[in-house]
Amino acid sequence: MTILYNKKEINIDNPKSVIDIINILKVIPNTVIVLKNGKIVELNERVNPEDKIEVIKVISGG
Amino acid sequence: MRKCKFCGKETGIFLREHRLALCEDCYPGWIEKQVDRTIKKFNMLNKDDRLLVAVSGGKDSLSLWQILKKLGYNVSGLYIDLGIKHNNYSELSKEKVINFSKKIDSSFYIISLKDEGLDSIDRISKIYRKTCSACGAIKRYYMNKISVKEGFNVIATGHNMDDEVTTLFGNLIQWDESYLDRQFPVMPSGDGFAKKVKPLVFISEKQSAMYALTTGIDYIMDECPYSKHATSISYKENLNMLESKHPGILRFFLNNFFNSKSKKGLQIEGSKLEIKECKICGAPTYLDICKVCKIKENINR
Repeated sequence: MTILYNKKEINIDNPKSVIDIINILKVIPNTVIVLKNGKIVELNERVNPEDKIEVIKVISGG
Repeated sequence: MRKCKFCGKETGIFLREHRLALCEDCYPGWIEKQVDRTIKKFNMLNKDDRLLVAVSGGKDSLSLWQILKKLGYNVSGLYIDLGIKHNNYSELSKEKVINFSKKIDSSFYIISLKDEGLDSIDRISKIYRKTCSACGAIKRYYMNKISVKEGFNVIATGHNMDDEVTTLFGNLIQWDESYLDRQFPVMPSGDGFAKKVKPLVFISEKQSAMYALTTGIDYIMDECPYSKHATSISYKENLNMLESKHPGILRFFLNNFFNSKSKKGLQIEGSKLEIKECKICGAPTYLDICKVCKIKENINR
């Protein structure tokens, strides 16, 4: 499925849940927000191929 | 799915450190209450204060601007145009600030590095290896300058809990006693410096981003191109790995640090260095010539 990661499209093979996506992206859960069909979801949320998933990185520095 | 503690609606927002589930409608009000609590705990602000909020176009500063406005404070924004051309970063940030100020009906000031004889951070980065440090000095200088010039008695910045814990961790690693002495959510006014407050000090970076998303704040998601390889990002990621395993540990760490300082009265001590007037611009400084005038000299050489 195609997801949006910081506004860039990324292909991920058949993730079953949000945690699968987090693991594939190799990001720390606390440093991202995941939206499923526009709603904030938890890590254990199940995902289907037709869902619109967006992962937003929240860490910034300087 | 969990249910919101306040209204019972199903939600995906669960704050592990507070063991609290909140829906997207109830979450913003909870955050605003937390910020209000921090403001009162540290005696940061009064309703008759004139506040200047430093805004970058990012989630933290725009959220802070909105929260302070909602809490009934007399607040204006200050945007410093750093002239960063990469990905049109500065132009886009400025656009976000201008649009947001209209949305919340709040006045703002814009300072441009180019107009101030500092060219841009792009130019400064070619001379100063520690670009973030030079940029920080410039921002602090203009925050203070505008507050004095325009009669603001308090400067508020959007430093969040992750920022503060990262700074604390960095200062501990380097055992920098001078910075450890000064790190506190409130810095009193004096010697030509305006009072400075950090009302988001107990709001995590993720909580701040969720506040921006749930209240429809259109913020710049791109990271500053000069902060990509900053040590602070690496510290933040590692500290957040710890937080993932032990929810609440960062808040505990920071809170205990502040509490320990409060008990000993260290936060009011501030710097022990003598304040002088910059020989070129007259701004308060610990040196004969302030850092911003030095940067100006170096880039115009």
